[in-house]
Amino acid sequence: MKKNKLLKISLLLILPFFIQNNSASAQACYEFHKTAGCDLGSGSGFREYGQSKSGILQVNKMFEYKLVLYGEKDYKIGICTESGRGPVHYRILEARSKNVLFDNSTDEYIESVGFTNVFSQTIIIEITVLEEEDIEIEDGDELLVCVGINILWRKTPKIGF
Amino acid sequence: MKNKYFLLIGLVLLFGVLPNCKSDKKNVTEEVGFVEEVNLEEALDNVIYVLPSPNEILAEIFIADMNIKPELANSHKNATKYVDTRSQSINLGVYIADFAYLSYSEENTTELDYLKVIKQLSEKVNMYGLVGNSMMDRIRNNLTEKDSLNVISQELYYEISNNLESSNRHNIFTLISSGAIIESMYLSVSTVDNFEDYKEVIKKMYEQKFVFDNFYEYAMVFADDPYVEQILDQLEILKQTFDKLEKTDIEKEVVKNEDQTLRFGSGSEFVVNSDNFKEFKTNIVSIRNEIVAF
Repeated sequence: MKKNKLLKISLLLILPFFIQNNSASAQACYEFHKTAGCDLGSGSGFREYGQSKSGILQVNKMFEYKLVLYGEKDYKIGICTESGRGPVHYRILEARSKNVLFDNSTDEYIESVGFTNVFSQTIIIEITVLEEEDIEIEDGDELLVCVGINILWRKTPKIGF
Repeated sequence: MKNKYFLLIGLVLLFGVLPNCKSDKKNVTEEVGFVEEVNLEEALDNVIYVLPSPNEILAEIFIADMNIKPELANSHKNATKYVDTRSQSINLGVYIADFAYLSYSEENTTELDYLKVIKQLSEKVNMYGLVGNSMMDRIRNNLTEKDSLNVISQELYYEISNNLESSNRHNIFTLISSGAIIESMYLSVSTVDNFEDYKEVIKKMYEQKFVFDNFYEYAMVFADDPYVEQILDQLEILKQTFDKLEKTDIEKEVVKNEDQTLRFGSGSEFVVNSDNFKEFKTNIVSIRNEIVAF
C-alpha cells in the first residue's frame, strides 16, 4: 500500500516535466523549416511556397505529406531534421497513380531535390526518418524528431529570345 | 502522514503544472495540442494535408491585367450578422479570401475594414492575438504596397492553420478553409467577363480541383463532427462540379536535365469550353451565396 502511494507520487512528480518537455519540443519545431539548417538558398527568383511545414514525426514510421504542385513552376524541396537526425528517406509520388517520381534512396539519401513541374498535380511526399531499431530510449522524445519540409518555387523561366 | 502527501502533491502542482498556465492563450493551446496531435495523426492515417492560402490560389489563377471588382467581396458590414460558430468560421474564411482579393486591386480599397472583421470573427471563434496592433500598423503602412498586403494575407491564413492544428480544432479549420476556397473560386469566376479572352485563366480555375480534392479528403476525416456536417452539402456540390470537368491525364514522365534537375511531365490538362464554364460558374455562385447568407 505504501509502495503504491510512493509510486503514484513519483509519477506525479515526473509527469509535469514530461508535459513541459514535450510542449517545448513542439514549440521549438514550429517553423523549423525556416531555420538556417533548412535553408535551400532562395536566389534565382525562388521564393518560399506556403505549403512548407514542420512537424514532429516518429522515427522509422512513414508519414505522407500530401500537397498540390502548380504547373509551369520550378520547385526545390528540402527535408531537414533537428540535430541532423536521420538519414531521411523520402519519395515523391503522383497522388493519382502512385507512380514514383523521385526516390532519394537511389541518390544517397540526398536532402534536397530540384525539379520542373509541367502540369498542376497532387503529389505525395512519403517521409521516413531512418534510425537503428535498437536505439537507446532514454525518454519518449528519442522516438520523435522535428522534421522540416522546405519548399521553394518560381515560375519556370521561358527559354529563348 | 496524509498531510505530507497533500503537501507533496501541492508542490508538484505548483512547480510542475502551473508554469504551463500562462495568460498567453496561444501557448496554452499549443501545449495541449501536442499531446493529442500524435493520436490525431494516427486517426488521419499518418497523412498530413496542406492547403494553399487564398492569396496563393488567386495568384495562381489571376494574370496581370485582371479587372478586380471590389464590390464582389462580401460586405464587411455583414460580419456582425453571423451569430453562430458555423457561419462565423465559414465567413472568417470568406473575409480572408476577400482581403487577399482586394490586395490585387490598384485602388486603396477597404482592406483595413476587412482586417478588422477578420480580427473580430477570429476572436469570436476563440483565436486571440491573430491580428495584433503591429499587424494593423503594417497594413496601414502598406496600403499602397499591394505585394506586402498579399504577404500579410498569406501569413494570416497559415497562422490560423497552425493555431487551429496545434489546438486540434480541425473542425473549425475545415469550416474556415471551406469559406476561403469557395470565396476564392467565387471571386475568380465572377471576375471573368469575357470567356474568349480568359480561357487560360479559366483553365487555372479548373486546376484548383487538385486543391479542392485534397481539402475534401481532409474534411471527410471529420465528416461526423457536428460543425463539419453543416458544410458537407456545399462541399459535395462543389466536388461534383469539379468532378464533371473533362480532363486528359498525362502519364508519368520524368526527365533528368543536364544540370541534374528533374522535369515532371505528368499531370492533367482540363478541357475548357463556354458550356462547362457556364455551369461551373453557376454552381460556384450558388454555393457561395448560400454560405454568406445570414
